[in-house]
This record gives sequence, C-alpha cells and structure tokens, in this order.
Amino acid sequence: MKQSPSTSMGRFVIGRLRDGAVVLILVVLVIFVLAFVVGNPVEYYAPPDATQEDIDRLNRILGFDRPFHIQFVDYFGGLIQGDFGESLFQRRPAIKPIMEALPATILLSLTGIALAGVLGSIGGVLAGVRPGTLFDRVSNFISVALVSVPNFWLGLVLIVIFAVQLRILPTSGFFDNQGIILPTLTLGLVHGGRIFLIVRSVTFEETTKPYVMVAESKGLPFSYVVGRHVLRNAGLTIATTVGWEYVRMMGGTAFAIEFVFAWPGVGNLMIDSAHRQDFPVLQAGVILTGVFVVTANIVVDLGSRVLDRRLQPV
Amino acid sequence: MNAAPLLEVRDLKVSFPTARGMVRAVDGVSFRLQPEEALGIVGESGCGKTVTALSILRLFGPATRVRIEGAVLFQDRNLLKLSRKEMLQIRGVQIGMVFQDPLTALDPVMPVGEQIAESIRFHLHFDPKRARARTLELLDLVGIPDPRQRIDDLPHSFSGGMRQRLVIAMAIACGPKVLIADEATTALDVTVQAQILRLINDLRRELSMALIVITHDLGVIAATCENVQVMYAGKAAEYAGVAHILEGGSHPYTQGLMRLVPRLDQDRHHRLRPIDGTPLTVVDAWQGCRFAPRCEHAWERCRVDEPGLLPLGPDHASACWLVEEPSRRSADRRAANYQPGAVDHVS
Amino acid sequence: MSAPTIAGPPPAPALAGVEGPPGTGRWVLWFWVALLGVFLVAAFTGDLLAPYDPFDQAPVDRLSPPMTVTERGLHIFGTDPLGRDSFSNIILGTRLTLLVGLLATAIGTVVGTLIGAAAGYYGGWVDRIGMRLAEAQTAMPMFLVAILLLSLLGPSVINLVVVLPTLIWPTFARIIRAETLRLRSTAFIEAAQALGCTGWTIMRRHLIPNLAGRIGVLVVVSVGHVMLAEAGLSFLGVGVQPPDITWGLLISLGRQYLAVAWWLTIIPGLFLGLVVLSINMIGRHFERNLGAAG
Repeated sequence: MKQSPSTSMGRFVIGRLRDGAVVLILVVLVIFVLAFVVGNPVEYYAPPDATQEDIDRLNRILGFDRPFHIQFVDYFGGLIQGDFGESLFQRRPAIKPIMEALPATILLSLTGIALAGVLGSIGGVLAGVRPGTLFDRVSNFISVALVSVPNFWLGLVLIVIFAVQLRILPTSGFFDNQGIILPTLTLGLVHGGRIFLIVRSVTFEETTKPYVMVAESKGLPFSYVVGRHVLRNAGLTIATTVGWEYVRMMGGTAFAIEFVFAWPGVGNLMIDSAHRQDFPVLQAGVILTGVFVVTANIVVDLGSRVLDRRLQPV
Repeated sequence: MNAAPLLEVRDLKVSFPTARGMVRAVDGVSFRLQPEEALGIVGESGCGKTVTALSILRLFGPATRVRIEGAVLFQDRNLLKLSRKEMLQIRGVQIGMVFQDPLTALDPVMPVGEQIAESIRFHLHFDPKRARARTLELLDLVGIPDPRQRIDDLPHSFSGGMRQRLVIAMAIACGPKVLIADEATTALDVTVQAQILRLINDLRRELSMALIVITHDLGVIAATCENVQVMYAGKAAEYAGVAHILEGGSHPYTQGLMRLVPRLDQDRHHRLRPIDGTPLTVVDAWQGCRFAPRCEHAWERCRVDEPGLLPLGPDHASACWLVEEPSRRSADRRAANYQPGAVDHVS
Repeated sequence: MSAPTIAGPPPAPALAGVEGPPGTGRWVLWFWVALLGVFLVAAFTGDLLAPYDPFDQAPVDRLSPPMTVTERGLHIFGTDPLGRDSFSNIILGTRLTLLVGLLATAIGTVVGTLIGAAAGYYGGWVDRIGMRLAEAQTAMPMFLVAILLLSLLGPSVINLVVVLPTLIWPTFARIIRAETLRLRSTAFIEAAQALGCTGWTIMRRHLIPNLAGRIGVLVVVSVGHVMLAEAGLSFLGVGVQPPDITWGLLISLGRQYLAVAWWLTIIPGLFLGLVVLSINMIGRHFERNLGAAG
C-alpha cells in the first residue's frame, strides 16, 4: 500500500510531537517529584521567626499540604496556561523575567551559531579536501583543543586577552555594541571546532567516493569537482550538523557563556536563580528551555529528512 | 608496425607507502599502443593492471601518497612530468576512461545530461545550448532510448547497463584518441556485458579511437582486443596477438590461465587444472622469476635470475627463460604445447 | 522492531584520518599518555608533590604573580587572595577532579551498558522503555536539568557523582544496544543459546567482551566530557563546594580577581584543558585503529 509522501511525513511529525510531549511531561514530573521530596518550599515564604503553627497555616493556605498528585495536576495545569508560579525573589510571575531575558539569549545564540557555522564549515571543507597537509593537521589539532577546553574558561581567556591586557573590548554589557563580540567569539570557537571536525570528516569521505575520480578523469580540476559535486552531496550533512550544534548549544553551553560575560539572557537569569534558590524561575526556565530544545530537535530532524528526500530521491 | 606509437608506457614503476614499507604495485611495465589499436591488459586481481591504468592519467586522489617512476609518452610528451594543469588537457580530451562500477561512477544528485555536458563545456567551451544538443547526440550514440526524456533524469533512475553507457558517453564526449576501459563490464550481468562490449567496439570504429581493455576475463579480451599483455605480480609476463594468447600462449602463466577456460570441444570429463599456489601481490625484494614457485617448468636459473620480456618474434615477447632454453620445457605430457581441440584425459 | 526515536544529534562519524607516514602516530600517542600519566600521578601523590600546604595562608603575599619568591620560597603559579600557594592548590584539586570524573564515568558506563545490552538482547518492553528513557534524556538540555537538580538536592560531591552519569549513559545505551542487536544474530550467540546458556551468561561472557573495543573508546571520550561538565557545574556554583577543591571550583574562585590576578583562573583551566585534550587525542587514536581493525 503506497502512501503519499505528505501523509507519511505528517504521521512522522505527529509521532515526533507526541514523543516530545511525553518527554517534557516526564521531565516536569521528575523535577516536581524531586522538588517535592527534597524541598520544603513553604520555608521560603515564611518569615524566619514563624512558629510551627504559622508554618502549618501557611502550608494550608498555599496548598502544600495536599496530596502529591493533586499538587502535581494543579501545577501542570498551571504550566499549560503559562503560569509557572511566582518568583520568590521578585514577587511577580516567574515567567516574566524569563520573557524579558529571552531576546538577549536569542541574539547571542544566533550570532554565535552563525560564526561557528561559517568557521567550522569553511575550515572543515578546506581541510577535508586537502588531508594530510599542514593546514589540515594544524586546524585539526586546534579544533580538538577547542572542544577539549572548558568553554567558560575559553571565554575567560578571551576576556583576559582582549579586555584586561589589551583593553580593547568590554568584559560585559549588552547595550554596548561591542559587548557582544567576545561572547560570540567564544561560542563561535567552541562550536565551530566541533562543526569543523565533523565537516572535515564528511567532506573527506565524500572525496573518496568513486564519482569524484570519474569526474577528475574527465579532466575537470579538483577545485571545480569539489565545488560542483562534493559540496552538493555533502551540503545537506553540513547544514544539519550546524543545526544539531545549535541544539547542543542551547542545551547548556550558551548559558554558561552568558554567565561568564554577564550577558542578560535566560541562562544568566537561571544561574542567578539557582544561586538565590528562586526555584519557580529556575524550574520555569528549565522547562521552557526543554520545550525549545525538544522542538528544535524535531525541527532539525524533520528538516533534514525533508531535504534529504527532496535532494536524493533514491 | 614500426610507426610511432600513440601511447607508450616505458618501464613504469608505481609504489605506495604502507606500514611495512613501500610496496611496488607495478614493477617495470612497458607497452606500446598504436593509433586505433585495441590492446588488452589481462591478469588476476592485484597484479597491477588497474594501477597501471590510473597511472597513465595520474588519477590517484589527494589522499594517496604514490610514487611513479618511468615514462608515459603521449604525443611526444611524458605525461608523468606534466603539471596538473597540463594533465587537465589530457584527461577526458585526449584520453578517456571508463570505470568498473556504474552504480557509483555518477554523481547521485546531478542530472545525467549535466554530467555528460560538463566536460564538453569545460574543454570545448560550448555554450549551454550547443552542449545540450551534443549531449543528446551522445546519448543516442551510446544507445540510451528516449534521450530527450531522460537527459535531465538522475542516475538512480537508470539500470546498471544504462549507467555504464552513460559513463561511456562521458568518457568519449570530447572525442579522445584513447579510451581506457578498466573492468568496464565486470559489474554487469552477462547479457549486458555483451551489449556493452559491442558498444565499445562500435564506438571505437566510429570514433577511430585506440582502446586499452583492462580485465581479468579472457572472454572480454577475445571479444575486443588485437594484442594482449598478460600481467603477473606487477610485471608483464607475456605480450602477443590475441589469437596466440587464446591458443595458449608461450609463458607458463598464460598457459595456466588458458587451461582454466572451459572449452566446448573438450570432453566433459576434462578437469580444469588450476595453477598451484596463490598469486603474489606484495613484493619486497624478490629474487628470480616471480612465477617460479607456481611454474611446473621452473629450474635453478628461474629462481635466481629474473627474466625480462624476451622477444619471441615480431610483436611477441615472453618474460620466461624458456625463450632462451626451450628444451627446459617439462616433459610432462600435461604441460606445454597445448593443442586446441586435443582431448586431455586425466590419468 | 526498532524503538521510536525522538532523535538527538547523530553520533559524530568516525574521523577519517590521513595521517603522516606510518610511525609518527605512535610517538604522539605516547606523548599524550605520558602527559595524562603525570596528572594521574599527581592525583594520587598530591600530598607529597605539593611544595606547600595548600591551606597555609599568608595574607602578606596575597595575589602574587607566578614565579614570585616569598619567605616561604618559590611560587610557580603565584598565590591566591589569602596568600596560599596556587600550585599546591592546583595539585590538590587534581585528585578530586579526576576522581569525580572517573567515578561518574564509570557509573554512567555501567548503567548505560547494562541497559543497552538488556534492551538489545531481550527486546520487547525492556527495549522500549529503556530506549524511550534514553531518548527522552538526550532531547533535554541535560546540563540545565543538572543545574536544577543540584540546586534542589544541594551541591555536593555525592550529588555530583549521582547527577553526572545521567549525562552519558544514553550514549552508551544506544551504541551498546546497536552492537548487541548486531551480535545477537551472529552464529556464535546462537550456538551459546543452543548449549543452554542463560541470557545473563551470554551477555557477560560473549557480548560484552566483543563490545569492549567500542566501549573502551567511548569511555575514554566520556571521561573528558564528564570532567568538563563537572568543571562547569562547579564553576557555576552548583557543584563542588569548599573546602573540597576541583579545578572547576578554582576557576570560579579566581574569577573575581580576573583583572588583577588572571593566573588564578586561567591556569587551573589550562590544566583541565590539557587533561581532556590528552584524553581526546588518545581516544581518537584508538578510534582510528578500531576502524581499521574492526
């Protein structure tokens, strides 16, 4: 029985979305369970000199004495409506500071991945088509080094070099145009390194394919063969690699970099929240980021399959 | 036959670095190709025939470290000494090549018409319209049905035999003087093989090309070649006209090969005699004739001295000491002087 | 039937290497092994190697740059804000950094391997649940979840060792499962089954030794991954806490003095980078050889 591509793709999407939803529910559940078991949230609301009576009363008022599953359903219901509780630190809905911090994170992450994509792809292709040369070996080593060092440390190194010693760039700051340079550079180097390694490998593998030799036997110069044949075949893989790297970046490294550079984004906010023990905000942030990452996962996966089918209908 | 050859390979030596040192895949091979001649290079896997072909066009990729010595003379130039740019004027234009596996020889994401037109546009500088017209002609020439419909199709929509025709079209697009067919039919079904061989023969005549056919299949040699060079372990074992080779040849290796071909005029109880031993591939320092361990005629001289290609007549040579000492041929009646048609019972 | 995938980034393809003439690879490998060895030795014998007591304060000498000579002697990497010798602190930090890294990796490896092997071998619901769990995790920003978990549970070494393995076990599970599925259909497993071996025995005696090569490379790479994660968590304040010392924590502590004493932050990070780099280089070497042989 033959299905048209659109319905099977549609089913695929639904399947993925369903899986993603399951994942998120699981995560929220786990977090909630832990918070329930470990934390004693009422203590954050109570003044230091509260008596046990006061605490019991607070528990009742805030609903913390209800059975677990009722609390969870309540919480989850609130989530769906966008209610993540109230920030313990600021006394406003937890979701607000996150929304305010979002643009900064989007800006930094996009510039970061753009730089990483450019550096990694171009470098990777150049290295992949000339294996064993000095350029290849050196850039290879540098890339391995870049993915071996702690990314936040790399940011600190850049700060020391450019901001402290040379004094040409600011250490932090958002509204200052130059403030974005160093964090973007850090992200670009770290993720560019990994992209480089993958692109190099993929490109090299492509050059070992027979059709490359056949094209050369026709008297076509190697650079031309790379441009018109190798890149077209490897291009999809390169693009999806950059996509996956963006997902990985949003999974944590972007946030550590925000912290290092005091970049007012979601990551910085969450780390501050962790320090201040402002759990509602932290929880909200993790869940929202989780939604983003799961969605991005699906998008990249989907995108690569669609493009793959279009370009290679084998 | 004293006319200047179109292509001459002189003492070609090709080595590759491996973990155990340099390996000589081709160790001193020479032959000549006249204009419009069809030469076959035959041997078992690993004897160096494909490496020889790749060396003519210097098609080893950027990742392969290879050392090539000797000379490949074409149009008064040594191809091995040309710059990369100059080689681009030889490949595809003067010398074309057809490869073994049609399923991987074509770029999977580029329409076949474009792949054929590539070299036409690049070398002959045709504009797109003219190139497309020429491509259609070529598709017709190699026997692709419905060229107008199929010119923009992707390779995967063609069968193996059709794809090989496309590869041939690519190779002859600019009208080369030499066509090298490296195991061009090995990956194809037997019936398709015959079609492709016929196509190659037809094209050769129509386009006045010289042909180098590289294969391990003696049937292919019989169908296409005028002269044959038999290779063993990186060196030439025998060079002769195809008729003589098919009758059994003079070199013990050639004779061994021919004994393996079942023949219609043999008794059906006739047993094929395989050649003892296994083929030699990696050669470090070898003393004496390379075939000696497997040769039924070998004597002390063979184990000590390596014979070069010794002439047996005009355009006939054999790398074997039997040329100089024919009396040494083993008296075993199962041995040489194979008579076609004679019934050979196993005693 | 294959478990549905939410899909994460595909595993990096085996690195195609065209290395230099045969021979250079060997020397380079030993270099990295030696470097790593130095750190391992420092981890075990830290107390003996450290020139000074890491806790010995001398506020007079605070924040001295590297190669300063004080009354106590030469401080190769300078001193921290309380006058303590930086080098000694770094050596002290080696032990916990490596320990946590290795231990967490070991736990993650064992858990991941067991789940993966069981999933591949038994199939059915074991497979489905196991892989669902693994994929669910891969699709989540685990680093963030780790931050959340640690701030809930309270930062400590124990909690770190519990949380860190969650970062790596899915990778192991996935690969081990794939290999198990592949091996399961080979003849010798069937033979073992015919001889009456139980599933557990088969897994232990046949599957796992065959997988050892793959596991080995993955373990090596994971150690680096885990160490970087620990450093990150400690740096962010949700990992190791004083008086326990790891390099990640040292980086964090030195950060506020970045403008005046950059070496306090940079040098511990440099060491961490070197350790992970040597681990990665060793891992790549084996990966290449594995591809060639297997």
